Amino acid sequence: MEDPLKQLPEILNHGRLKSITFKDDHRQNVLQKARDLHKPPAPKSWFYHWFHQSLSLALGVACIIIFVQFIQDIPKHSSDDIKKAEEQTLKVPYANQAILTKVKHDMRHQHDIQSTIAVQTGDTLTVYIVYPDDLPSNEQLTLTKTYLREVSHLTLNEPYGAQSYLGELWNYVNVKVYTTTSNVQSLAARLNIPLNYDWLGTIDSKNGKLTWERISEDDQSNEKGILN
Amino acid sequence: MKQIPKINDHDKEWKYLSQEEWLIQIMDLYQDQVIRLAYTYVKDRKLAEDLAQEVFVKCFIHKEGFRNESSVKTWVYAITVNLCKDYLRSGWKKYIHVIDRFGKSKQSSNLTPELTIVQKSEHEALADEVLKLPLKYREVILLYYFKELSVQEISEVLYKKEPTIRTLLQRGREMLKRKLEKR
Repeated sequence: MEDPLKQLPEILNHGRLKSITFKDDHRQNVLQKARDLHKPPAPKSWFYHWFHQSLSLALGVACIIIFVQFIQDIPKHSSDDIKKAEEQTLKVPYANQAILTKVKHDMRHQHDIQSTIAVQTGDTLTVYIVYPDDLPSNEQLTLTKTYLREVSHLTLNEPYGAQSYLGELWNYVNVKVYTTTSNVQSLAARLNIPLNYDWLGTIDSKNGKLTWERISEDDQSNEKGILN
Repeated sequence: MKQIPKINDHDKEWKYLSQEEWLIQIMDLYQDQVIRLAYTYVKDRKLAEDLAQEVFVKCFIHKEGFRNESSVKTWVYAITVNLCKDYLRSGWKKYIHVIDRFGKSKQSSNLTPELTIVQKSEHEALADEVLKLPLKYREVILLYYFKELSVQEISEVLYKKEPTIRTLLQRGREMLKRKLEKR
């Protein structure tokens, strides 16, 4: 039996594809397109040039403005600030940081302290305490002693020897406490102003005793004492 | 109007023609074959016309790329097949196709199945079933039986190996046979 598919050209060409032919206007379209391929592009009108250049200029200016605003929005850090921030974050071993955080937490909840910031360089711990403006100076003094006592007790309680993996811990720490008021906003400003009180203390990690000394430029009656 | 000498597919005279003469020659030789081949892919007269025009423009653009490794016929068919497949793959086509099918399903609901069968002759039924085959079988069957290309030429047009073409041909035939027996 003959394969019916062999009749397929006849079936399709005389059947449903009979009317599907490439007409003369299709040929003309193809030839026109082929000719157009070799044509140089038509010159653009002055309006096109004007519009195109204006748009490019406007986009360029907009990009510059956005870029400038973006640059202005980036907060500027002085090299000192960066250095101090690095000292704060990198040089304070985290166990020490934990002690300071605990003290800060206790002080802020039990006493009227607005903020405490501590920086450790080597084995010297420097603490800034911000008191409210209306707190009398004798109250500030009392609170400062409380703070130092708290640090001292926590330092004593920390089993340093057994936890050497915790990082470089205090063996012998000098503590300086500066007290200031909340009208001084930034850390940089705090570092530059003349300070009201200066407490210099030394914690011995073996017995937890803090030997402290008050040095005040205003008040020459220096105080000394031992806290434990 | 200038008369262009007729040249067949294997003549070496192609290179002596100007670009436009060459294009006219190509169209004279393959215009109906290209448009009908395109129709078997897209099954739409308007689209087949557009695609056929595009095929000849493409031939014109890529004329220099033709390296005489195959016949001009195979080359023109390969361009046609690729353009049709590109169109079938495009998202726009899929969108139009859905709308088109929706419209056709509404129209066809007027005819009863009995009437449709009676109206179609045996030959029409064969053509109908061939055009309903899945694309990979349909194109091989049509190129082999309708365009009367050899397996080797089909492998050049579709960029597939000859054994693959033979397998597709065999499976296409079997599928067609089953469908025709079911009628």
